[in-house]
Amino acid sequence: MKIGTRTSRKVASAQGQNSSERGPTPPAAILRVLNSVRGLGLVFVLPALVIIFGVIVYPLLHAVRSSFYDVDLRSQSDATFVGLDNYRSVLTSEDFPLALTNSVVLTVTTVVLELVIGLGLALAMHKHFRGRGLVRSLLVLPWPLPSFIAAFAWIWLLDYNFGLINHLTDALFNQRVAWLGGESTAMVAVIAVNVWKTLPWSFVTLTAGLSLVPTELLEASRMDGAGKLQELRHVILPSMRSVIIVVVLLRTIWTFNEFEMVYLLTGGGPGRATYVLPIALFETAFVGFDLGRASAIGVIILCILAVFGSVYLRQETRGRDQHA
Amino acid sequence: MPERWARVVVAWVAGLLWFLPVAWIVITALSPSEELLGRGLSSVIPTSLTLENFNFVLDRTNYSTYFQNSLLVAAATVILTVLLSCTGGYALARLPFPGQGLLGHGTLLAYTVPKALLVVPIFTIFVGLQLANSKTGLTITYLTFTLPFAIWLMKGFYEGLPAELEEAALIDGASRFRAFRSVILPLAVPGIAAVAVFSFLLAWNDYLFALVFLIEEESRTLPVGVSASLHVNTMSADLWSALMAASVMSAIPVFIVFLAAQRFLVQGMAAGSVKG
Repeated sequence: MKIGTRTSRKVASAQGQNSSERGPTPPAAILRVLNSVRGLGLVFVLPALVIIFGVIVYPLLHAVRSSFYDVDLRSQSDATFVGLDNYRSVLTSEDFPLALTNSVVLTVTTVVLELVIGLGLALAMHKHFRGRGLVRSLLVLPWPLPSFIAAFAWIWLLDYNFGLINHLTDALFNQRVAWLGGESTAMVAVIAVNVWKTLPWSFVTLTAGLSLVPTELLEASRMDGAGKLQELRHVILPSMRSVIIVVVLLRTIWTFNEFEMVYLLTGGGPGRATYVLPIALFETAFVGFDLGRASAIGVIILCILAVFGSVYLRQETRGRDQHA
Repeated sequence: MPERWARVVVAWVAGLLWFLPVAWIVITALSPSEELLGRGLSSVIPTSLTLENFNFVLDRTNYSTYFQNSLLVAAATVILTVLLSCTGGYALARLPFPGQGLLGHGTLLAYTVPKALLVVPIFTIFVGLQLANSKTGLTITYLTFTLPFAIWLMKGFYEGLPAELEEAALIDGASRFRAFRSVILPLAVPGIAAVAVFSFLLAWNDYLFALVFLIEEESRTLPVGVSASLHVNTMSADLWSALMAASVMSAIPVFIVFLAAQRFLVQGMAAGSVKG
Protein backbone atom coordinates (compact mmCIF):
# COMPACT_ATOMS: atom_id res chain seq x y z
CA MET A 1 0.00 0.00 0.00
CA LYS A 2 1.64 3.19 -1.08
CA ILE A 3 0.46 6.65 -0.15
CA GLY A 4 -0.67 8.84 -2.98
CA THR A 5 2.21 11.07 -4.00
CA ARG A 6 0.15 13.92 -5.37
CA THR A 7 -1.60 14.69 -2.09
CA SER A 8 1.57 14.51 -0.06
CA ARG A 9 3.51 16.74 -2.42
CA LYS A 10 0.78 19.35 -2.23
CA VAL A 11 0.88 19.27 1.55
CA ALA A 12 4.66 19.41 1.56
CA SER A 13 4.90 22.43 -0.70
CA ALA A 14 2.20 24.21 1.26
CA GLN A 15 4.21 23.70 4.39
CA GLY A 16 7.38 25.00 2.80
CA GLN A 17 5.68 28.30 2.19
CA ASN A 18 4.41 28.58 5.75
CA SER A 19 7.57 27.69 7.62
CA SER A 20 9.66 30.39 6.01
CA GLU A 21 7.48 32.92 7.80
CA ARG A 22 8.15 31.42 11.18
CA GLY A 23 11.73 32.44 11.79
CA PRO A 24 15.08 30.63 11.38
CA THR A 25 14.63 27.18 9.89
CA PRO A 26 17.00 24.71 8.28
CA PRO A 27 17.84 25.58 4.68
CA ALA A 28 14.86 25.29 2.40
CA ALA A 29 16.63 22.69 0.33
CA ILE A 30 16.99 20.24 3.20
CA LEU A 31 13.39 20.75 4.22
CA ARG A 32 12.26 20.14 0.69
CA VAL A 33 14.19 16.90 0.52
CA LEU A 34 12.93 15.65 3.86
CA ASN A 35 9.38 16.56 3.03
CA SER A 36 9.33 15.10 -0.40
CA VAL A 37 8.38 11.51 -0.53
CA ARG A 38 11.26 10.51 -2.73
CA GLY A 39 13.78 12.49 -0.73
CA LEU A 40 12.85 11.02 2.58
CA GLY A 41 12.82 7.58 1.08
CA LEU A 42 16.35 7.98 -0.16
CA VAL A 43 17.66 9.45 3.07
CA PHE A 44 16.06 6.65 5.02
CA VAL A 45 17.32 3.87 2.88
CA LEU A 46 20.76 5.13 1.97
CA PRO A 47 22.76 4.26 5.11
CA ALA A 48 21.46 0.72 5.12
CA LEU A 49 22.16 0.43 1.41
CA VAL A 50 25.72 1.67 1.86
CA ILE A 51 26.38 -0.94 4.49
CA ILE A 52 24.77 -3.78 2.60
CA PHE A 53 26.70 -2.83 -0.51
CA GLY A 54 29.94 -2.16 1.26
CA VAL A 55 30.00 -5.18 3.49
CA ILE A 56 28.14 -7.80 1.50
CA VAL A 57 28.12 -6.99 -2.19
CA TYR A 58 31.64 -5.63 -2.51
CA PRO A 59 33.36 -8.43 -0.54
CA LEU A 60 31.26 -10.89 -2.47
CA LEU A 61 32.49 -9.50 -5.77
CA HIS A 62 35.99 -9.54 -4.32
CA ALA A 63 35.60 -13.22 -3.47
CA VAL A 64 34.17 -14.07 -6.87
CA ARG A 65 37.12 -12.34 -8.47
CA SER A 66 39.53 -14.31 -6.26
CA SER A 67 37.98 -17.53 -7.44
CA PHE A 68 39.50 -17.00 -10.86
CA TYR A 69 43.00 -16.54 -9.51
CA ASP A 70 45.59 -18.69 -7.83
CA VAL A 71 45.90 -16.73 -4.60
CA ASP A 72 47.56 -17.62 -1.35
CA LEU A 73 45.80 -16.31 1.73
CA ARG A 74 49.03 -15.11 3.25
CA SER A 75 50.47 -13.25 0.29
CA GLN A 76 47.50 -11.99 -1.63
CA SER A 77 49.50 -9.78 -3.95
CA ASP A 78 51.06 -12.70 -5.85
CA ALA A 79 47.91 -13.68 -7.67
CA THR A 80 48.01 -15.36 -11.03
CA PHE A 81 44.99 -15.58 -13.25
CA VAL A 82 43.92 -19.17 -13.78
CA GLY A 83 40.46 -18.84 -15.25
CA LEU A 84 38.22 -21.77 -14.38
CA ASP A 85 41.02 -23.97 -13.01
CA ASN A 86 39.89 -23.57 -9.41
CA TYR A 87 36.36 -24.61 -10.29
CA ARG A 88 37.57 -27.57 -12.28
CA SER A 89 39.84 -28.64 -9.44
CA VAL A 90 37.06 -28.36 -6.87
CA LEU A 91 34.38 -30.13 -8.92
CA THR A 92 36.64 -33.02 -9.84
CA SER A 93 38.19 -33.47 -6.40
CA GLU A 94 37.29 -36.50 -4.30
CA ASP A 95 36.15 -34.36 -1.43
CA PHE A 96 33.60 -32.29 -3.27
CA PRO A 97 30.91 -34.92 -3.99
CA LEU A 98 31.31 -36.09 -0.40
CA ALA A 99 30.92 -32.61 1.02
CA LEU A 100 27.96 -31.96 -1.25
CA THR A 101 26.24 -35.17 -0.20
CA ASN A 102 26.83 -34.44 3.47
CA SER A 103 25.51 -30.91 3.06
CA VAL A 104 22.39 -32.11 1.29
CA VAL A 105 21.74 -34.89 3.80
CA LEU A 106 22.21 -32.53 6.72
CA THR A 107 20.06 -29.81 5.20
CA VAL A 108 17.17 -31.90 3.92
CA THR A 109 16.88 -34.03 7.07
CA THR A 110 17.13 -31.05 9.39
CA VAL A 111 14.58 -28.96 7.53
CA VAL A 112 12.08 -31.79 7.10
CA LEU A 113 12.32 -32.73 10.78
CA GLU A 114 11.98 -29.11 11.85
CA LEU A 115 8.98 -28.56 9.65
CA VAL A 116 7.18 -31.70 10.76
CA ILE A 117 7.96 -31.30 14.45
CA GLY A 118 7.44 -27.54 14.39
CA LEU A 119 4.13 -27.76 12.58
CA GLY A 120 2.99 -30.69 14.70
CA LEU A 121 3.74 -28.85 17.91
CA ALA A 122 2.17 -25.63 16.64
CA LEU A 123 -1.02 -27.53 15.84
CA ALA A 124 -0.97 -29.47 19.09
CA MET A 125 -0.61 -26.30 21.11
CA HIS A 126 -3.05 -24.23 19.13
CA LYS A 127 -5.84 -24.67 21.62
CA HIS A 128 -5.08 -23.36 25.02
CA PHE A 129 -4.32 -25.70 27.91
CA ARG A 130 -2.99 -25.11 31.37
CA GLY A 131 0.77 -24.59 31.28
CA ARG A 132 0.88 -23.92 27.57
CA GLY A 133 2.86 -20.72 28.13
CA LEU A 134 5.43 -22.66 30.13
CA VAL A 135 5.81 -25.34 27.47
CA ARG A 136 6.24 -22.67 24.83
CA SER A 137 8.98 -21.04 26.89
CA LEU A 138 10.72 -24.39 27.34
CA LEU A 139 10.62 -25.10 23.62
CA VAL A 140 12.06 -21.74 22.82
CA LEU A 141 15.03 -22.04 25.19
CA PRO A 142 17.66 -23.20 22.67
CA TRP A 143 17.04 -20.21 20.43
CA PRO A 144 18.99 -17.54 22.31
CA LEU A 145 21.65 -20.00 23.35
CA PRO A 146 24.94 -19.23 21.62
CA SER A 147 26.05 -21.97 19.22
CA PHE A 148 29.31 -22.50 21.03
CA ILE A 149 27.49 -23.19 24.30
CA ALA A 150 25.06 -25.54 22.60
CA ALA A 151 27.94 -27.36 20.92
CA PHE A 152 29.97 -27.80 24.11
CA ALA A 153 26.90 -28.83 26.09
CA TRP A 154 26.01 -31.50 23.56
CA ILE A 155 29.59 -32.73 23.28
CA TRP A 156 29.40 -33.22 27.01
CA LEU A 157 25.91 -34.75 26.85
CA LEU A 158 27.00 -37.21 24.18
CA ASP A 159 30.24 -38.15 25.88
CA TYR A 160 30.86 -41.88 25.74
CA ASN A 161 31.75 -42.33 29.39
CA PHE A 162 30.17 -39.47 31.27
CA GLY A 163 27.43 -38.10 29.06
CA LEU A 164 23.82 -38.15 30.19
CA ILE A 165 22.57 -39.66 26.95
CA ASN A 166 24.83 -42.66 27.31
CA HIS A 167 23.91 -43.02 30.98
CA LEU A 168 20.32 -43.31 29.78
CA THR A 169 20.99 -45.76 26.96
CA ASP A 170 23.15 -47.78 29.30
CA ALA A 171 20.40 -47.98 31.88
CA LEU A 172 17.67 -48.73 29.33
CA PHE A 173 19.39 -50.82 26.67
CA ASN A 174 22.73 -51.71 28.22
CA GLN A 175 24.43 -50.00 25.33
CA ARG A 176 26.74 -47.03 24.97
CA VAL A 177 27.30 -45.24 21.71
CA ALA A 178 30.23 -43.06 20.69
CA TRP A 179 27.86 -40.58 19.06
CA LEU A 180 30.21 -37.93 17.82
CA GLY A 181 33.12 -40.29 17.45
CA GLY A 182 31.48 -42.93 15.28
CA GLU A 183 31.47 -42.54 11.51
CA SER A 184 27.92 -43.67 11.06
CA THR A 185 26.48 -41.94 14.11
CA ALA A 186 28.20 -38.56 13.86
CA MET A 187 25.85 -37.23 11.19
CA VAL A 188 22.84 -38.41 13.18
CA ALA A 189 24.15 -36.58 16.22
CA VAL A 190 24.87 -33.40 14.26
CA ILE A 191 21.38 -33.45 12.73
CA ALA A 192 19.80 -33.99 16.12
CA VAL A 193 21.71 -31.12 17.72
CA ASN A 194 20.93 -28.88 14.77
CA VAL A 195 17.22 -29.64 14.96
CA TRP A 196 17.29 -29.09 18.71
CA LYS A 197 18.95 -25.72 18.31
CA THR A 198 16.89 -24.37 15.42
CA LEU A 199 13.41 -25.82 16.00
CA PRO A 200 12.44 -22.85 18.23
CA TRP A 201 12.64 -20.41 15.34
CA SER A 202 10.57 -22.64 13.07
CA PHE A 203 8.11 -23.38 15.83
CA VAL A 204 7.58 -19.70 16.66
CA THR A 205 7.23 -18.70 13.02
CA LEU A 206 4.80 -21.51 12.28
CA THR A 207 2.80 -20.75 15.42
CA ALA A 208 2.57 -17.13 14.33
CA GLY A 209 1.44 -18.25 10.89
CA LEU A 210 -1.10 -20.62 12.39
CA SER A 211 -2.55 -17.85 14.54
CA LEU A 212 -3.29 -15.87 11.40
CA VAL A 213 -5.47 -18.53 9.83
CA PRO A 214 -8.85 -16.81 9.52
CA THR A 215 -11.17 -18.12 12.19
CA GLU A 216 -14.21 -17.61 9.97
CA LEU A 217 -12.86 -20.22 7.59
CA LEU A 218 -12.32 -22.67 10.44
CA GLU A 219 -15.81 -22.09 11.78
CA ALA A 220 -17.34 -22.41 8.35
CA SER A 221 -15.58 -25.69 7.70
CA ARG A 222 -16.62 -27.03 11.07
CA MET A 223 -20.24 -26.12 10.36
CA ASP A 224 -19.95 -27.96 7.08
CA GLY A 225 -19.01 -31.00 9.12
CA ALA A 226 -15.32 -31.22 8.30
CA GLY A 227 -13.24 -33.54 10.48
CA LYS A 228 -9.88 -32.58 12.01
CA LEU A 229 -7.83 -34.04 9.18
CA GLN A 230 -9.92 -32.39 6.51
CA GLU A 231 -9.73 -29.14 8.40
CA LEU A 232 -5.98 -29.47 8.34
CA ARG A 233 -5.72 -30.28 4.68
CA HIS A 234 -8.27 -27.87 3.28
CA VAL A 235 -8.24 -24.89 5.57
CA ILE A 236 -5.14 -24.70 7.75
CA LEU A 237 -2.36 -25.78 5.42
CA PRO A 238 -3.49 -23.70 2.43
CA SER A 239 -3.83 -20.65 4.65
CA MET A 240 -0.34 -21.23 6.01
CA ARG A 241 1.15 -21.74 2.58
CA SER A 242 3.30 -18.62 2.48
CA VAL A 243 4.58 -19.06 6.03
CA ILE A 244 5.55 -22.66 5.38
CA ILE A 245 7.35 -21.70 2.20
CA VAL A 246 9.26 -18.97 4.05
CA VAL A 247 10.25 -21.37 6.83
CA VAL A 248 11.39 -24.07 4.41
CA LEU A 249 13.36 -21.69 2.23
CA LEU A 250 15.09 -19.73 4.96
CA ARG A 251 15.89 -22.82 7.00
CA THR A 252 17.27 -24.58 3.94
CA ILE A 253 19.54 -21.66 3.16
CA TRP A 254 20.66 -21.22 6.76
CA THR A 255 21.30 -24.93 7.33
CA PHE A 256 23.16 -25.33 4.05
CA ASN A 257 25.41 -22.42 5.04
CA GLU A 258 25.81 -23.53 8.65
CA PHE A 259 29.43 -23.62 9.67
CA GLU A 260 29.80 -22.96 13.39
CA MET A 261 27.62 -25.72 14.80
CA VAL A 262 29.05 -28.53 12.71
CA TYR A 263 32.61 -27.30 13.09
CA LEU A 264 32.37 -26.96 16.86
CA LEU A 265 30.72 -30.35 17.23
CA THR A 266 32.88 -32.52 15.01
CA GLY A 267 35.23 -30.36 12.97
CA GLY A 268 33.91 -32.21 9.92
CA GLY A 269 34.82 -35.65 11.20
CA PRO A 270 35.31 -38.28 12.23
CA GLY A 271 37.23 -38.74 9.00
CA ARG A 272 34.89 -37.03 6.57
CA ALA A 273 31.63 -38.17 8.10
CA THR A 274 30.26 -34.69 8.71
CA TYR A 275 32.40 -32.81 6.22
CA VAL A 276 30.00 -30.24 4.79
CA LEU A 277 30.63 -27.58 2.16
CA PRO A 278 31.08 -24.61 4.54
CA ILE A 279 33.72 -26.58 6.42
CA ALA A 280 35.42 -27.45 3.13
CA LEU A 281 35.50 -23.75 2.38
CA PHE A 282 36.91 -22.84 5.77
CA GLU A 283 39.63 -25.48 5.69
CA THR A 284 40.66 -24.68 2.15
CA ALA A 285 41.09 -21.04 3.12
CA PHE A 286 42.51 -21.21 6.64
CA VAL A 287 44.35 -24.53 6.62
CA GLY A 288 45.26 -24.92 2.97
CA PHE A 289 45.65 -21.17 2.52
CA ASP A 290 44.30 -21.59 -1.00
CA LEU A 291 42.12 -18.52 -1.27
CA GLY A 292 41.28 -19.00 -4.93
CA ARG A 293 39.99 -22.49 -4.47
CA ALA A 294 38.11 -21.57 -1.30
CA SER A 295 36.40 -18.72 -3.12
CA ALA A 296 35.43 -21.12 -5.87
CA ILE A 297 33.78 -23.41 -3.31
CA GLY A 298 31.95 -20.41 -1.92
CA VAL A 299 30.68 -19.36 -5.33
CA ILE A 300 29.47 -22.89 -5.99
CA ILE A 301 27.58 -22.89 -2.69
CA LEU A 302 26.13 -19.55 -3.69
CA CYS A 303 24.96 -20.83 -7.06
CA ILE A 304 23.25 -23.79 -5.47
CA LEU A 305 21.48 -21.49 -3.05
CA ALA A 306 20.68 -18.90 -5.71
CA VAL A 307 18.25 -21.40 -7.12
CA PHE A 308 16.50 -21.51 -3.79
CA GLY A 309 16.66 -17.74 -3.51
CA SER A 310 14.96 -17.23 -6.83
CA VAL A 311 12.29 -19.75 -5.99
CA TYR A 312 11.62 -17.73 -2.87
CA LEU A 313 11.29 -14.48 -4.84
CA ARG A 314 8.86 -16.05 -7.27
CA GLN A 315 6.85 -17.44 -4.38
CA GLU A 316 6.73 -14.12 -2.54
CA THR A 317 5.42 -12.27 -5.58
CA ARG A 318 2.87 -14.94 -6.31
CA GLY A 319 1.77 -15.04 -2.70
CA ARG A 320 1.44 -11.27 -2.54
CA ASP A 321 -0.68 -11.19 -5.67
CA GLN A 322 -2.98 -13.71 -4.12
CA HIS A 323 -3.50 -11.54 -1.08
CA ALA A 324 -3.73 -8.15 -2.79
CA MET B 1 -11.33 -36.34 25.49
CA PRO B 2 -8.42 -38.55 24.51
CA GLU B 3 -7.39 -36.29 21.67
CA ARG B 4 -6.97 -33.33 23.96
CA TRP B 5 -4.86 -35.38 26.35
CA ALA B 6 -2.68 -36.59 23.50
CA ARG B 7 -1.96 -33.00 22.50
CA VAL B 8 -1.07 -31.95 26.01
CA VAL B 9 1.19 -34.96 26.56
CA VAL B 10 2.97 -34.44 23.24
CA ALA B 11 3.49 -30.78 24.05
CA TRP B 12 4.90 -31.51 27.49
CA VAL B 13 7.20 -34.29 26.24
CA ALA B 14 8.59 -31.98 23.61
CA GLY B 15 8.96 -29.16 26.11
CA LEU B 16 10.89 -31.35 28.52
CA LEU B 17 13.08 -32.81 25.77
CA TRP B 18 14.04 -29.38 24.64
CA PHE B 19 14.62 -28.23 28.17
CA LEU B 20 16.78 -31.16 29.22
CA PRO B 21 20.12 -30.07 27.74
CA VAL B 22 19.76 -26.61 29.21
CA ALA B 23 18.96 -28.08 32.60
CA TRP B 24 21.99 -30.33 32.25
CA ILE B 25 24.26 -27.35 31.62
CA VAL B 26 22.97 -25.65 34.76
CA ILE B 27 23.25 -28.78 36.89
CA THR B 28 26.80 -29.41 35.75
CA ALA B 29 27.72 -25.80 36.40
CA LEU B 30 26.43 -26.05 39.94
CA SER B 31 27.90 -29.47 40.77
CA PRO B 32 31.31 -30.06 42.26
CA SER B 33 33.54 -31.24 39.44
CA GLU B 34 34.51 -34.56 41.07
CA GLU B 35 30.92 -35.69 40.77
CA LEU B 36 30.99 -35.49 37.00
CA LEU B 37 33.05 -38.61 36.72
CA GLY B 38 30.41 -41.04 37.86
CA ARG B 39 29.49 -43.68 35.36
CA GLY B 40 25.80 -44.14 35.76
CA LEU B 41 22.48 -42.41 36.12
CA SER B 42 23.07 -42.04 39.80
CA SER B 43 25.85 -39.56 39.14
CA VAL B 44 23.40 -37.24 37.44
CA ILE B 45 21.82 -35.85 40.58
CA PRO B 46 24.42 -33.82 42.41
CA THR B 47 24.83 -34.41 46.12
CA SER B 48 25.72 -30.82 46.77
CA LEU B 49 25.51 -27.54 44.96
CA THR B 50 28.46 -25.23 44.72
CA LEU B 51 29.55 -21.99 43.15
CA GLU B 52 33.16 -23.09 42.88
CA ASN B 53 33.00 -23.49 39.11
CA PHE B 54 31.86 -19.93 38.67
CA ASN B 55 34.74 -18.76 40.84
CA PHE B 56 37.08 -20.86 38.76
CA VAL B 57 35.98 -19.08 35.62
CA LEU B 58 36.17 -15.61 37.09
CA ASP B 59 39.52 -16.14 38.79
CA ARG B 60 41.38 -18.17 36.22
CA THR B 61 40.24 -16.61 32.95
CA ASN B 62 39.67 -13.16 31.52
CA TYR B 63 35.95 -13.72 31.64
CA SER B 64 34.98 -10.20 32.71
CA THR B 65 36.98 -8.70 29.85
CA TYR B 66 35.27 -10.97 27.35
CA PHE B 67 31.90 -10.10 28.85
CA GLN B 68 32.45 -6.36 28.57
CA ASN B 69 33.62 -6.66 24.99
CA SER B 70 30.61 -8.72 24.02
CA LEU B 71 28.31 -6.23 25.70
CA LEU B 72 29.84 -3.27 23.88
CA VAL B 73 29.71 -4.89 20.48
CA ALA B 74 26.19 -6.23 20.95
CA ALA B 75 24.81 -2.92 22.20
CA ALA B 76 26.33 -1.04 19.28
CA THR B 77 24.96 -3.59 16.85
CA VAL B 78 21.47 -3.33 18.30
CA ILE B 79 21.37 0.46 18.24
CA LEU B 80 22.67 0.71 14.69
CA THR B 81 20.44 -2.07 13.40
CA VAL B 82 17.33 -0.56 14.92
CA LEU B 83 18.11 2.88 13.51
CA LEU B 84 18.90 1.63 10.04
CA SER B 85 16.08 -0.90 9.76
CA CYS B 86 13.40 1.41 11.16
CA THR B 87 14.12 3.92 8.49
CA GLY B 88 15.16 1.55 5.73
CA GLY B 89 12.12 -0.67 6.19
CA TYR B 90 9.84 2.34 6.12
CA ALA B 91 11.38 3.56 2.90
CA LEU B 92 10.84 0.21 1.27
CA ALA B 93 7.29 -0.06 2.53
CA ARG B 94 5.94 3.40 1.95
CA LEU B 95 8.18 5.76 0.08
CA PRO B 96 8.68 5.37 -3.64
CA PHE B 97 12.23 5.72 -4.79
CA PRO B 98 14.19 4.31 -7.67
CA GLY B 99 14.90 0.61 -7.35
CA GLN B 100 12.43 0.08 -4.55
CA GLY B 101 10.78 -3.00 -5.97
CA LEU B 102 14.03 -4.83 -6.49
CA LEU B 103 15.39 -3.97 -3.08
CA GLY B 104 12.18 -4.90 -1.36
CA HIS B 105 12.35 -8.42 -2.65
CA GLY B 106 16.08 -8.75 -2.77
CA THR B 107 17.08 -7.93 0.80
CA LEU B 108 16.70 -11.47 1.97
CA LEU B 109 18.87 -12.75 -0.86
CA ALA B 110 21.80 -11.47 1.18
CA TYR B 111 21.33 -14.52 3.39
CA THR B 112 22.14 -16.94 0.63
CA VAL B 113 25.78 -15.92 0.98
CA PRO B 114 27.63 -18.24 3.34
CA LYS B 115 29.42 -16.51 6.20
CA ALA B 116 32.58 -18.49 5.63
CA LEU B 117 32.80 -17.06 2.12
CA LEU B 118 32.47 -13.48 3.31
CA VAL B 119 34.98 -13.69 6.13
CA VAL B 120 38.16 -13.52 4.09
CA PRO B 121 37.33 -10.68 1.67
CA ILE B 122 35.79 -8.62 4.47
CA PHE B 123 38.86 -9.16 6.57
CA THR B 124 41.16 -8.20 3.70
CA ILE B 125 39.19 -5.04 2.97
CA PHE B 126 39.00 -4.08 6.63
CA VAL B 127 42.73 -4.54 7.06
CA GLY B 128 43.12 -1.92 4.37
CA LEU B 129 40.70 0.38 6.20
CA GLN B 130 42.43 -0.20 9.54
CA LEU B 131 39.22 -1.70 10.84
CA ALA B 132 40.38 -5.26 11.24
CA ASN B 133 41.21 -6.41 14.74
CA SER B 134 38.82 -3.84 16.18
CA LYS B 135 35.44 -3.99 17.80
CA THR B 136 34.19 -1.28 15.44
CA GLY B 137 35.03 -3.38 12.43
CA LEU B 138 33.34 -6.38 13.99
CA THR B 139 30.20 -4.35 14.71
CA ILE B 140 29.99 -3.27 11.08
CA THR B 141 30.23 -6.86 9.91
CA TYR B 142 27.46 -7.84 12.33
CA LEU B 143 25.28 -5.24 10.65
CA THR B 144 25.54 -7.28 7.48
CA PHE B 145 23.96 -10.21 9.30
CA THR B 146 21.27 -8.23 11.04
CA LEU B 147 20.20 -5.65 8.48
CA PRO B 148 18.66 -7.83 5.75
CA PHE B 149 16.31 -9.65 8.09
CA ALA B 150 15.66 -6.52 10.19
CA ILE B 151 14.77 -4.40 7.17
CA TRP B 152 12.58 -7.16 5.76
CA LEU B 153 10.82 -7.54 9.08
CA MET B 154 10.20 -3.82 9.56
CA LYS B 155 9.06 -3.49 5.97
CA GLY B 156 6.49 -6.22 6.44
CA PHE B 157 5.46 -4.66 9.71
CA TYR B 158 4.94 -1.22 8.21
CA GLU B 159 2.98 -2.69 5.34
CA GLY B 160 0.60 -4.12 7.89
CA LEU B 161 -0.20 -0.67 9.22
CA PRO B 162 -3.01 1.11 7.35
CA ALA B 163 -1.90 3.95 5.12
CA GLU B 164 -4.76 6.08 6.45
CA LEU B 165 -2.75 6.83 9.57
CA GLU B 166 -0.07 8.76 7.74
CA GLU B 167 -2.63 10.30 5.42
CA ALA B 168 -4.50 11.65 8.41
CA ALA B 169 -1.34 13.12 9.87
CA LEU B 170 -0.37 14.69 6.56
CA ILE B 171 -3.80 16.22 6.13
CA ASP B 172 -3.44 17.66 9.60
CA GLY B 173 -0.36 19.47 8.35
CA ALA B 174 2.48 17.27 9.58
CA SER B 175 5.58 16.81 7.45
CA ARG B 176 6.38 13.39 6.15
CA PHE B 177 9.14 12.96 8.66
CA ARG B 178 6.92 14.14 11.49
CA ALA B 179 4.22 11.72 10.41
CA PHE B 180 6.76 8.94 10.53
CA ARG B 181 8.18 9.93 13.89
CA SER B 182 5.01 10.66 15.82
CA VAL B 183 2.41 8.42 14.26
CA ILE B 184 4.07 5.36 12.79
CA LEU B 185 7.06 4.85 15.03
CA PRO B 186 5.14 4.38 18.30
CA LEU B 187 3.08 1.72 16.57
CA ALA B 188 6.17 -0.03 15.34
CA VAL B 189 7.45 -0.87 18.82
CA PRO B 190 6.72 -4.64 18.59
CA GLY B 191 8.61 -4.82 15.33
CA ILE B 192 11.47 -2.79 16.76
CA ALA B 193 11.58 -5.05 19.81
CA ALA B 194 11.81 -8.09 17.55
CA VAL B 195 14.62 -6.47 15.59
CA ALA B 196 16.48 -5.49 18.77
CA VAL B 197 16.31 -8.97 20.22
CA PHE B 198 17.31 -10.60 16.95
CA SER B 199 20.30 -8.27 16.54
CA PHE B 200 21.45 -8.72 20.11
CA LEU B 201 21.33 -12.49 19.72
CA LEU B 202 23.30 -12.44 16.51
CA ALA B 203 26.01 -10.15 17.83
CA TRP B 204 26.31 -11.87 21.21
CA ASN B 205 26.44 -15.39 19.80
CA ASP B 206 28.70 -15.07 16.79
CA TYR B 207 31.83 -17.19 16.78
CA LEU B 208 33.35 -17.22 13.28
CA PHE B 209 33.70 -13.50 12.66
CA ALA B 210 34.78 -12.78 16.21
CA LEU B 211 37.41 -15.47 15.79
CA VAL B 212 38.83 -13.88 12.66
CA PHE B 213 38.47 -10.22 13.60
CA LEU B 214 39.52 -10.04 17.22
CA ILE B 215 42.91 -11.55 17.66
CA GLU B 216 44.12 -9.80 20.77
CA GLU B 217 43.17 -11.33 24.07
CA GLU B 218 41.92 -8.02 25.53
CA SER B 219 39.41 -7.42 22.79
CA ARG B 220 37.98 -10.93 22.55
CA THR B 221 34.29 -11.51 22.90
CA LEU B 222 32.74 -14.30 24.93
CA PRO B 223 32.35 -17.06 22.33
CA VAL B 224 35.98 -16.99 21.29
CA GLY B 225 37.37 -16.18 24.73
CA VAL B 226 35.50 -18.93 26.51
CA SER B 227 36.26 -21.51 23.82
CA ALA B 228 39.94 -20.68 23.80
CA SER B 229 40.35 -20.64 27.57
CA LEU B 230 38.14 -23.53 28.56
CA HIS B 231 37.64 -25.91 25.65
CA VAL B 232 41.11 -27.26 25.18
CA ASN B 233 42.42 -30.44 23.66
CA THR B 234 42.56 -32.45 26.85
CA MET B 235 39.54 -31.74 28.95
CA SER B 236 39.39 -32.55 32.62
CA ALA B 237 36.38 -32.65 34.89
CA ASP B 238 37.45 -29.29 36.29
CA LEU B 239 37.42 -27.76 32.84
CA TRP B 240 34.08 -29.25 31.86
CA SER B 241 32.47 -27.85 34.99
CA ALA B 242 34.12 -24.50 34.44
CA LEU B 243 33.04 -24.52 30.80
CA MET B 244 29.44 -25.16 31.82
CA ALA B 245 29.64 -22.42 34.43
CA ALA B 246 31.01 -19.98 31.87
CA SER B 247 28.21 -21.06 29.53
CA VAL B 248 25.58 -20.29 32.13
CA MET B 249 27.03 -16.85 32.77
CA SER B 250 27.28 -16.15 29.04
CA ALA B 251 23.74 -17.24 28.39
CA ILE B 252 22.06 -15.24 31.13
CA PRO B 253 22.09 -11.84 29.33
CA VAL B 254 20.58 -13.25 26.17
CA PHE B 255 17.95 -15.12 28.11
CA ILE B 256 16.98 -11.98 29.98
CA VAL B 257 16.71 -9.97 26.77
CA PHE B 258 14.87 -12.78 25.06
CA LEU B 259 12.31 -13.62 27.71
CA ALA B 260 11.58 -9.98 28.41
CA ALA B 261 10.76 -9.32 24.79
CA GLN B 262 9.16 -12.65 23.97
CA ARG B 263 5.73 -11.14 23.81
CA PHE B 264 6.85 -8.62 21.23
CA LEU B 265 8.83 -11.19 19.36
CA VAL B 266 5.89 -13.34 18.36
CA GLN B 267 3.77 -10.31 17.63
CA GLY B 268 6.44 -8.58 15.61
CA MET B 269 7.31 -11.64 13.61
CA ALA B 270 3.71 -12.49 12.94
CA ALA B 271 3.07 -9.06 11.57
CA GLY B 272 6.36 -8.91 9.76
CA SER B 273 6.41 -12.25 8.03
CA VAL B 274 2.83 -12.70 6.97
CA LYS B 275 1.29 -9.78 5.17
CA GLY B 276 -2.44 -9.84 5.00
